[in-house]
Amino acid sequence: MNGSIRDFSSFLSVEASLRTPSGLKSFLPHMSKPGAATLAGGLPPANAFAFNKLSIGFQNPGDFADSGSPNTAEIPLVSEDPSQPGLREALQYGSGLGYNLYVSFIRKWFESHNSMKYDDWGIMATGGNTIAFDHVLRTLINPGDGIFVEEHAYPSALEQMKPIRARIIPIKMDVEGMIPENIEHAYHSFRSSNPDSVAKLIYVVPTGQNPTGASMSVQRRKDILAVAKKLDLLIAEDDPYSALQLPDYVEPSENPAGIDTYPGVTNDFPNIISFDDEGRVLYMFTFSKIICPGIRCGFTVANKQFMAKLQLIQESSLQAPSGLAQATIIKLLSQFGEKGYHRHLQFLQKTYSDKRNFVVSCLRNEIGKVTAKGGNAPAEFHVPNSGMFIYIKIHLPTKSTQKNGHAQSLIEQIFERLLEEKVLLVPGYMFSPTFDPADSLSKDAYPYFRCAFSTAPQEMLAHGIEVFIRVLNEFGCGQ
Amino acid sequence: MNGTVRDFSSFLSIEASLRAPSNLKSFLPYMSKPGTVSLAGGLPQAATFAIDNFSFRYKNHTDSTDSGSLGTIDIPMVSEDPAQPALREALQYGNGFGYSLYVSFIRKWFERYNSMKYDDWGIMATGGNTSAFDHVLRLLINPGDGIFVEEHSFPSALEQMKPVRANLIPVKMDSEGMIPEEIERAHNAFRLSHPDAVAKLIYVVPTGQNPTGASMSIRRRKDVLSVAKKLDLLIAEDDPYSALQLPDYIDPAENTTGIDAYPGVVNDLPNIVSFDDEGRVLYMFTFSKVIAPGIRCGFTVANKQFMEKLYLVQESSLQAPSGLSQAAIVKLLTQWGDQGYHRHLQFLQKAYTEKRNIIVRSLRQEIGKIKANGGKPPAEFHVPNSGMFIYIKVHLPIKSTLQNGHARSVMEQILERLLEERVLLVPGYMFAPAFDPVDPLSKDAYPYFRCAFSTAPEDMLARGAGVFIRVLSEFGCGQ
Repeated sequence: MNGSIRDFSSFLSVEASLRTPSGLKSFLPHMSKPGAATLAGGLPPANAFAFNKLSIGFQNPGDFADSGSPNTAEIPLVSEDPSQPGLREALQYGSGLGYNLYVSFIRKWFESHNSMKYDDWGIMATGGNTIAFDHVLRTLINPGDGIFVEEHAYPSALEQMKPIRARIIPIKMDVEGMIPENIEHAYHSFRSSNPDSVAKLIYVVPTGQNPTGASMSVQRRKDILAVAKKLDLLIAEDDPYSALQLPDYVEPSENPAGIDTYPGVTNDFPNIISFDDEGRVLYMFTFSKIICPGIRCGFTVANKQFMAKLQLIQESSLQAPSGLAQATIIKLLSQFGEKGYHRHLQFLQKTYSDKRNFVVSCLRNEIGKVTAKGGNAPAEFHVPNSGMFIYIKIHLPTKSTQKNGHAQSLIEQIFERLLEEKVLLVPGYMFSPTFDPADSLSKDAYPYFRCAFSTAPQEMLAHGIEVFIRVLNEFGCGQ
Repeated sequence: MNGTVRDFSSFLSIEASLRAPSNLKSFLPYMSKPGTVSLAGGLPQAATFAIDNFSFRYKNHTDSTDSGSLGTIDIPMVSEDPAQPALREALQYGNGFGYSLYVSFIRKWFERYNSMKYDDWGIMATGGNTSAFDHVLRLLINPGDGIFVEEHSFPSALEQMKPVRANLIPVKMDSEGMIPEEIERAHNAFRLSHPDAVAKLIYVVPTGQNPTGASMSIRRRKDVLSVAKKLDLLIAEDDPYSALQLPDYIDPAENTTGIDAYPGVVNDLPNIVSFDDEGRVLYMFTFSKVIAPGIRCGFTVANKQFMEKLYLVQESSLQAPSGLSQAAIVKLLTQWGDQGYHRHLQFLQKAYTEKRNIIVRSLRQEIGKIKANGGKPPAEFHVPNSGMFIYIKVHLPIKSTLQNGHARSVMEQILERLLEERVLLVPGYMFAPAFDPVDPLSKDAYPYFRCAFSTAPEDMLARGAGVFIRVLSEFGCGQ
């Protein structure tokens, strides 16, 4: 395996280069020496902690009997087993990398699911992928630096890039996601129109992309990395959905496929970072969709140089994720074990697949009603094989309609009508890096609606889809 | 009470003015309307959460003997009582203000202990004061903006201010803390030396200041606010220690003070924000020393205009503190009630006071031995009435000593010697905003050591004090 990697300091933002290791934190190693009288750190004593023990009840939807995992866990103040968490450490101040037991545990866990192609990498606990990406941006991006994003991108990520004044460069997508040739194309355009700017980073969600639901093939992942190498770019790989792999569509029936038919833990969608032999990829994983969003915990993997700066940013902001969350995750993953975790993913995949199948069948049904009468389909969509979204392309009528004599985009009219009917979908312009809110008619340039199938209960899904297609018809879509 | 405050938009950083409310999050209110079919937000269903419930053993302080009695609190998935936390909401995505029940609870809780002088203020959950202050800096500070800081300052705060390229303006302190006249003096000097820069913010820790242990009187708090008004500055009020009030020193051997004699919630030193009738103060409170550092949870209070931007910073980074932490805090404070919280503070105050008294006695004894032998004291200090630190001023010898032919600061030599003896204190230059690491001899310009008495057990406190004073003598301090 390749040992050392190149010097990445030229990629650091001005802010990151001004961050230096804390004088105080450098004392920490001394403080654990036997007999040390530490009068240095302002650490509250553990016997002052208000909490003494944490007990967790796991939701046990899958059948854990065969995986042998108990469905409760306890975290005492002091753990007899050093490999198990104790609140005395989990709830104490520590390093910007996170609770050390969590960091070492999650490193082994990550390595058991990913094989890294270089040695000089590090891992840290994060408060989820939004803060992870916030820290990546602050580490790398100066005002004016270019970031390549999917042409239909995750709105929260766009909202993070704007205040730091990154130049957002949209990249065309196909059914798999970002198109590598288009990155090159856009790169050259960017360099000629912004000769003094640096194109630095590709932000990508390779699996279960939000909003399109696209997942990149193995070849596509390698091609993206190849382009990054060619153009000397870094990759921020955002991974909230790789666990939510959904097998091919089947008609919903009274006997849906059993949980055992689901992939569970697989390597069908290897993370881009597992092909990276140069240290270009900063990989961000979150437990939000696997455990719950409010746990606010995940991890980031990157080369050691970047990790050192990411650690410093975290030290100066969150410090570390909640110790309760980190300790809980260790306990949950240890207690589930490989088998239980596999089972848990199967449960999630079945839950999401069943819902996706139901929504797809409703959509096809309602669209089918229109085409059966000889009409053109008002909308079309790809069936996602990962994640929780279907991105529905609508066929806007050739003529736009006016409302009350004022020009208003059709998308907006459709959206308002849906709201009146108490049905909510997210319109396409909200995912567009180039949408200009000052030109509200341009909303029609993004004729899509994103449909999330994760939340609504089944009985409401059918009604929602029925209303959606009906409203599209009312506005002449497909005609 | 004064209703509206002035327009504060001129104080916003460029980054903050580029932040706009999230389109996606703006859907949230619609999503909770009855009968709405939301296919909008990618919210995992509560049925997919891996955690179903959790419970804590907590110190319930049911008697006055600090017997270590514990109670149990439970947090279920769904709560029958809407005033009680439930994981279905606490562990779900929300908005940047935090878990709604935590926010409303903590607002009432804050109002019980603080009376605000204007109406247009808001409150939000934070991941502790480091995260809170990071967000305040991003809200307000452009590169070059001036921030007034105590001349002996919290190093972590200094480390946060440097990467955002604030101009740090140290302000002289006396035994109460920052001197208001010195703020004016420093302001005038700054305007002369940096005519194009904007002096914007006072960063202050008014109670149990780190490192000096100083606490401002009521008069001083009002005077600092007056200066802020006069110079049109804002105040970032950092409050980690107001709960740790330590009554006057009593020799440990004679101390029979029972827990009931401790002040508990009774606080003679109101927060600066409670005098603020204009909305100048951003008040940051953390539960780190009250509950545990790893809970990573607190709250910030500020005028509504700032709050409308501050929550956006959080929405684009942490999103919200861990739902486990927020739910646990609501439950804990509810179960304690005012009486239990009062008791808990008394318990903390007793623990910290007794430790402070031990180290004060040891220091006085060791210094006393030298005086008894006809020598001059090698060090002096004020006894802190709050917090967890004693700031010890060292009387460096008139002549500095050389080591191995190289000029080295005496402070550094003392520190190394202490480390050899496995005694750790933090040298004063680490708290100096003006310290230049390039000039190592300048370490002697900050002849102080900060002594934390929070963690070390009693015997360590005594040993540490003894070694410390002995080493100072060895280096000729006081001579």
